[in-house]
Amino acid sequence: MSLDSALEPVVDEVTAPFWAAAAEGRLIVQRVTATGALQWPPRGFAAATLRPGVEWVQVSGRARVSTFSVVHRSTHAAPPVPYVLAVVELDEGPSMVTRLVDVEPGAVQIGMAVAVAFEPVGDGVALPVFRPAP
Amino acid sequence: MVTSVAGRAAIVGAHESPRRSAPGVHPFEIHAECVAAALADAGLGAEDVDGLCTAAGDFAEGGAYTDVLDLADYLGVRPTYFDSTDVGGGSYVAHVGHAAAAIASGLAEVVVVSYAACPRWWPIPSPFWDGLQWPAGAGQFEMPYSMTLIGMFAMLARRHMHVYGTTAEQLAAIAVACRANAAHNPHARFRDPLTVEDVLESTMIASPLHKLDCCVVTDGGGAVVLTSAERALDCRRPPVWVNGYGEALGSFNLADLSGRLVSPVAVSGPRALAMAGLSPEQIDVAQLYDAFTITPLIALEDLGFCDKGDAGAFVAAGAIGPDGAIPINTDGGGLSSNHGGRRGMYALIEGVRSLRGESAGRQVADCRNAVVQGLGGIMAAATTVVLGVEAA
Repeated sequence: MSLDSALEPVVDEVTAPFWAAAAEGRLIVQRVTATGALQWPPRGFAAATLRPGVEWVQVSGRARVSTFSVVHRSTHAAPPVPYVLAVVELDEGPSMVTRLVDVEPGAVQIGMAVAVAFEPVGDGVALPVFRPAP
Repeated sequence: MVTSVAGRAAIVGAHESPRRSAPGVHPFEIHAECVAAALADAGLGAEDVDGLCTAAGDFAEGGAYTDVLDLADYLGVRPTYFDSTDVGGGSYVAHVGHAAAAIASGLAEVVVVSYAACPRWWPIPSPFWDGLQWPAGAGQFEMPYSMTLIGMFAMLARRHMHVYGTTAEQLAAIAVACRANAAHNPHARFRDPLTVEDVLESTMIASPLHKLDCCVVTDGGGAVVLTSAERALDCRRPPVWVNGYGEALGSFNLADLSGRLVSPVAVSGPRALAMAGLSPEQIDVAQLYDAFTITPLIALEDLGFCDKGDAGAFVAAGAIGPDGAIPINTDGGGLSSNHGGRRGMYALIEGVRSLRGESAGRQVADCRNAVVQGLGGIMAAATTVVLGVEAA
């Protein structure tokens, strides 16, 4: 699917590693070096303390659905409705907003196991999405 | 040093535009109508005004990023106190709290807070109308999923239902209660009786929120005038006292949903009530920001009207009805009366009217203390004011 230009991620020096990894099919999140805590979304510093010292770590891509909504009316050109927005909780802890793919909207349940996949959305951008995991 | 604004300032004038559709009318014209009427209500004139507050930079509001500057010049006022804090729909409640503090500290004496929007005809789109943020910074991890505003609130609603057992019927009961109040409001956008079944059978927009779980879209505006305790007693109407104020910011990013089931209302509400020296049981009416049925539901819990997770049952038992423990949104709310993209000003004005015995919809008997709850973002910003017929 091709993303409307108004929705294309504006990549910056903090987030560039994320999108580079996504283009390689890898999901990475930030870890605060001093504490080992994972943080999302990424910053150039440890949120709340404002201290430096963050690094990227690869995660398994496995997660569970925390909540979701089947969108039936949308102002966006793509994807066609109905599509499924979700918040998933990675096995490693952090939660992410995403879309669920390869699943019937009526089959989505909170708690279901999902795994990351990468959807090309134009301009070389690979968008992490999640699909039901075995 | 001012540590509390309780009883230091009062709302002495208020006016809500009766408009619900205003094709071809610039929102600043509606600001002017409402400000002039609110000042007349107070027995004051434009020449008395030394402070102006607004948030007018969002879709269909007419202002650019220097919104209060744009508006002041259009109105022809030259304020020496101003505030354009923008935390979403509850901004005007923040302005009341900030104006009360300014008046209490001597920075201003007569402050106007004003709002207007014309979303039904405004032709210039805004990138924030659906999704609230740029696809940049943290937003680059949310917007590219074709995020929608209703989808975000819907995910919040579904999580509340999963964790606490709240049902679609209970959410619908909030819409039904607001519509029942709107039946008494001649200016409300929708007044026809509504049932829970009507709500559940309306078009699903983003599950679990149906069309009738969502607010109306109207053109219009409103303004209030605040002044000092001393000057309030000389105004035309009995003062409505600002007895408590609290504001709090929570997580803007939707991924932090666990932080949002308990919203920043749980911080701003108790702060406001404590300043007023009141408990939730002593509040006679609550005007709760209702963009979608889930928002007053969570606000009821976080303000302490019921326990966390119990708002569904609380509402289903009739607690928010006219004879209930805490009637809400007595003019019909955003769910039935009016909503221009922000509802804070309308909730504020109905709070004032309720305490004057002049509710636009259903008047609560012996109404002496009111809570007005403003919200912004996906329950990310909370602004609470406690108003009373007597100074705290």
